[in-house]
Amino acid sequence: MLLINCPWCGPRDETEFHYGSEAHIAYPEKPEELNDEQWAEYIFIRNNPKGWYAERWVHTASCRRWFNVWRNTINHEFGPSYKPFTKQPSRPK
Amino acid sequence: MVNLKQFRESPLKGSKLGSKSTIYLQEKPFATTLEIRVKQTSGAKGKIEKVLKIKLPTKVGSTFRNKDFTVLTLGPDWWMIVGATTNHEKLIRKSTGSQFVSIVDTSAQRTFIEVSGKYAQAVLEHGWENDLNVQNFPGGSCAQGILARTPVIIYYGPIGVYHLYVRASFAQHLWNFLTDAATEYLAK
Repeated sequence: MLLINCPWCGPRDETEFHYGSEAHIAYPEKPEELNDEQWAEYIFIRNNPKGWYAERWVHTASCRRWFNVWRNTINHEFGPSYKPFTKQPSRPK
Repeated sequence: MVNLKQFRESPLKGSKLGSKSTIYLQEKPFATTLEIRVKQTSGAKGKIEKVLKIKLPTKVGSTFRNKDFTVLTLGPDWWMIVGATTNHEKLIRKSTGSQFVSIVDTSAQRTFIEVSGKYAQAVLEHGWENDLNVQNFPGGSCAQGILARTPVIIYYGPIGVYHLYVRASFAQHLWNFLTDAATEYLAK
């Protein structure tokens, strides 16, 4: 099981969390001007890197807060987690 | 006027099990709880603190206790006050006025199970996934999480007693789990 570090509650088991896919995807500035293809890209298209990936998780069973965390998609190693709207820590080595 | 209190019934009907020398479980029903949601930076937080005459703890998992009530910090903007009165609710509503605050009386939502005795920690560790050791969970801590697939708030009182706050509809399930986990310690 993954041990995920919630910025508010500390390290907790994966079963307390839900996954929220890639982090730092901004809502389109003018959504009314997007065509279907661009809208689909915003909704569905995500990076799928081999290695470090900044993603969103929500601590459903405890503080109910969303946060961002670096995770390595090869070995599931977790990097630093950080609160939303704060500076993103640099990509772990 | 009829006193309605005589008709109320708790989900576990005040069940008890075991003894203080090994493991003791008891339902302590009917505590009044108020849940407050307010931003840490909001001016309304100060007004709530004025009504309660305390400072709300800021760190998630920390608590405050005085002779009237206990405050549990459940999230960065989320507090649960156990043992508050309906008068507190009225006063907070009045003092915060139209500010962006949520105060909800959740008394009927949960019931309370007290877990105490020598093996209290051991019994909870049968299902609680987080560290209960005193270094990481000292007296006066609280945590929300999953116990036997049930959402539970654990408050570890300064007197070494665990208080479990569980939704009324899950209470019987949690009680069955706890009594099952306690079986091996009862005979010790």
